[in-house]
Amino acid sequence: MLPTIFYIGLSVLLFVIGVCGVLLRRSTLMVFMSIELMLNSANLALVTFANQRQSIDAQIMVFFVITIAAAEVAVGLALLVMIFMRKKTTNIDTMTTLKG
Amino acid sequence: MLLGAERDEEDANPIRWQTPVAITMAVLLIGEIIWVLVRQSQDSLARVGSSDSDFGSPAQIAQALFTTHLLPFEVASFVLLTALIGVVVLHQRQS
Repeated sequence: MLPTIFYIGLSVLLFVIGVCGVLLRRSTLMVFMSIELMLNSANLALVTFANQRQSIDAQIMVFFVITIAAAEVAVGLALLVMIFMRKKTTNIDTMTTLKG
Repeated sequence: MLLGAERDEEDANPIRWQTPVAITMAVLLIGEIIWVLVRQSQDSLARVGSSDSDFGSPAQIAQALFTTHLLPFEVASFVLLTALIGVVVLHQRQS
């Protein structure tokens, strides 16, 4: 098995790609995908540390995080479809309803 | 397409300053993470977890999931059910 640092490095790489996606892309779908990428990179880091410390509880926690992520994806995509039907665009800069 | 992904980002960016700021912040984040990894993890990450072949086996995970963590398991099932119902209701009201 590879040393832990390689897994952490991959996790960091995925997280930074997700952050760049959130910060740079303006399509809501792309931002959504980037958020998922960040979530899963955090999962990878968690499961790597679980393996290093031989802790089964952390793996169970990753299981629950994935479960909640599935629920979040379902609701988020439904909201995205509704926003698109109402505004006819997915550009994230047009969603300024809550702007003060 | 359903969400208009085919005409993705063809419009000009309405907020002009946000791309350079975003690039700056992303670079700062990369630098910070690399700094933490290099500075703080010299010895703590060097060890590899012992290759205990039984660790993480389906039997072990199921044992932990269905005994110690049974209540969170049930709660997660309710969360999933709520999300399912929410999505269905959201789309019912639409049409």
